[in-house]
Amino acid sequence: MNEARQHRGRGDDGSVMPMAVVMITFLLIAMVSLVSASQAWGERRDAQAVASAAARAAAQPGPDEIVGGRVQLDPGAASARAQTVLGASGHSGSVSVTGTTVTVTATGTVSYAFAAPGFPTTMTATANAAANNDVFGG
Amino acid sequence: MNAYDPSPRCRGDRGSAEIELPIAVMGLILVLLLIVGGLRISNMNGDVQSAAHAGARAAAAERDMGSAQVAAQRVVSAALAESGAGCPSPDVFVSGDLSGGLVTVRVTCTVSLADVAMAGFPGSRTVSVSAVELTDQLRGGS
Repeated sequence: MNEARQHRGRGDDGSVMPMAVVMITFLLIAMVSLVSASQAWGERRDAQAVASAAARAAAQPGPDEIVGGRVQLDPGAASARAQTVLGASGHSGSVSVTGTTVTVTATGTVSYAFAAPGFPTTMTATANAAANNDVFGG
Repeated sequence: MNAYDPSPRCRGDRGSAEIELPIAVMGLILVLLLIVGGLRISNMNGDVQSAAHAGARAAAAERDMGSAQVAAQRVVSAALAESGAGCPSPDVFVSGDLSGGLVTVRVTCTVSLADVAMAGFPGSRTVSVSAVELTDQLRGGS
């Protein structure tokens, strides 16, 4: 009986610490994942905002792009306006102009705060935005 | 022989859990504080970035730098208050060209980390981000 009791006693040895180590390890992994996901989400939000700003910029006609009271976007000039905003925001991207509609794809990169070995150290976010401007109020 | 008498070995183990448990709980609390602090900094960056974009849009709609500064300050403060970012007095700086050029709004915000400092964070952290917006090509500024 005593031996059985002693066996149970040994079985309880160190039960708190290993469990705590497992939990802390799990929580640390969860922390890295949460912070990295939050960074990725933030970069996506930023890329979306930059794409929207670039699309708005591209859709604003210059003086030479108003013909007969109507907007006629020059694809080259519109693309240059969008690229100006993209570049100033630290993003890259592409611009497509179809008639008076501009579509911008913005790409940004963020470095993860916690670079886990064996995993990517950066994340690239891409967002699209479109703007249309076919009315010029006089 | 009494089956309920703990053996000397069992008595010898007594107390280890009393020492280990507080250490384990402290470790868990520290990790949880790390999570809270890390997420707060990360979310703060996003909120300030979003507010800077809103401020840039507001500034680009104005005709002079004074009005642009006032508009950006008002919009950024409102956006940060709405998001609950914990930045009651953001520093907003507007620069650029309001006559068809780029306007840049830089927002600097200090977030308090005093309540998670136990996990190794500094007492506060300053976040500074900027956003740009192109002003109207035809309207022009003053």
